[in-house]
Amino acid sequence: AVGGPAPAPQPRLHWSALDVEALVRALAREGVAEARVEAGADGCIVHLPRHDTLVHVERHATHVFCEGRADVRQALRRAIAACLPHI
Amino acid sequence: LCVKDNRLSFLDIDEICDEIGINRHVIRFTSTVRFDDPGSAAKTAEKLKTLLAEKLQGWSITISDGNISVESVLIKVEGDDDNTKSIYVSWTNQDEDLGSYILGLLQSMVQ
Repeated sequence: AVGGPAPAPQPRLHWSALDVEALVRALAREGVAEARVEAGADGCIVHLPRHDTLVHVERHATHVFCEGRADVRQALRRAIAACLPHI
Repeated sequence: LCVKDNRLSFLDIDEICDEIGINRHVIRFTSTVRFDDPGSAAKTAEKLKTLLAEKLQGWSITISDGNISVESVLIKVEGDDDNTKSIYVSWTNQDEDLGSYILGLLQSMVQ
């Protein structure tokens, strides 16, 4: 028998750049509040200190560093998906 | 699957983006697990690979320079000998099921 999780459903393809202000609003709607945005050379970093999470946003990539809580990660996925065109 | 040059072709997701002229936005998640395992980081990585091979039968698991890969999931072990190791688990949004499964496995292993 094949172990592990079942194969994932059809992957979602996201494109374009992420609007950070829209992301902060979407995070607040998900109950992930107190976001602090810091501009950097190649994008910006969204700090979520209450959730021990950093979101590094670049033009064509977003990298989330979080401490492994599935509920926080799912909220972040929904918020990011709400701010990017996707199929 | 798409029609290209009047032929049906299989394209991966990056090729599709090139074909239709859009800039893909890649979303990646990284979480860290602390693991008390004396010995070198390479030795810990070998143990993790053995564990994953047992739990993920049928999946292709590779290890290179101490970094383990399963699809887009990357597992990297860092730490000095005889110290607690930091295990970084990273995956793209498309591999959320696999990435969260592996993270959960490693979290349960260290508890």
